[in-house]
Amino acid sequence: MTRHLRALALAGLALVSLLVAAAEPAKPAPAPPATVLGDVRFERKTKGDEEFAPAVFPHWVHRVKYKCYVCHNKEMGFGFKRGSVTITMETIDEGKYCGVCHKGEPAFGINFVTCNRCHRK
Amino acid sequence: MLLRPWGVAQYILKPYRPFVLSLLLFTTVLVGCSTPPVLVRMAQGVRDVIVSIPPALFDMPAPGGTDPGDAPVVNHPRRERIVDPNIEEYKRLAALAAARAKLPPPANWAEMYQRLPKDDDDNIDWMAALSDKTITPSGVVDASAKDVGKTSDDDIELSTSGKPNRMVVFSHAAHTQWLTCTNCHNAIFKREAGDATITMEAIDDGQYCGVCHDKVALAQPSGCKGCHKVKAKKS
Repeated sequence: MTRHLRALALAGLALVSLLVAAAEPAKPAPAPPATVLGDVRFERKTKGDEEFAPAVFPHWVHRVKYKCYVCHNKEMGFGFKRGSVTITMETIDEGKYCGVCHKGEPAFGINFVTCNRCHRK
Repeated sequence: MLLRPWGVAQYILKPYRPFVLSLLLFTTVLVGCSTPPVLVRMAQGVRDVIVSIPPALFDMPAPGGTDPGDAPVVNHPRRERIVDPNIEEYKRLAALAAARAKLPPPANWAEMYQRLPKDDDDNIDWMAALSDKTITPSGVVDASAKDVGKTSDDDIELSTSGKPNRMVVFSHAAHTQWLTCTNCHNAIFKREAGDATITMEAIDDGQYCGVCHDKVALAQPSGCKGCHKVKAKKS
């Protein structure tokens, strides 16, 4: 009787460990490095919100989906030189610069939930 | 009239008598030759004839010679197997692309970053990402818009002043996968080859190649050899 009980307990243990192994979620991918080559941290030109982090443009994220000339052209207005355009939240809301895509479709829209996707330390 | 069967047969077969007789003779000889002692003697005769043929005419060892036995047969290839590095590279990339096609789309940007191929310095190797189809960047924001991207596959040799002994060959094909003509021409480079004097100082200063290179783009492999690839001709 005890032998049977012991065997049953062992089998149960094996089943539980199997279930745990199966239920364990796949390891999430490690976070990409804080700065990747090509990232642009914009320089703040407006006075008054120094405590709010300036925006960071992750070049690599955009290169995954678009070729260079999608943004670097006359209509879009992005030059190659860093600091050659002045981008404010007003110009984005008008649908210029980042606002061409970041208006919900094709890319995430700009609202008080998504501030820290660009404005990060 | 009394018909005797044998007589009738004789009457009918009369014109064929030589044929019937020779058939009978042939059958008798055949049956006679089929008896075991005759067959054995004939086989002996055939063997004698075969042995009398010089062994050099056979693809087997001479009666007294050595037998190779069960030694493995070596089939020498008639020619060297041609290994074309371009075809091998193409096969490798095709296999990679097929493997990528089976992967589900990345769940988040961390996963995307992990998938991007990296170079020796752990920076993203964008050209490899393009060629193994990890990414397929679009040339337009709106899918219905016209893609202005153009391609020119001309390679341009940039002559060297001699000191770094390896010449730079500018590959248009590598750049037009990302850029369109107006990105570089004529603001950074004039359209006519040989117009610009490109020095490493100017590049470090952010001119010419330095507009993008080492800022957002890296030639592969990293370091000098990414661009200075071709051994300069002695003039």
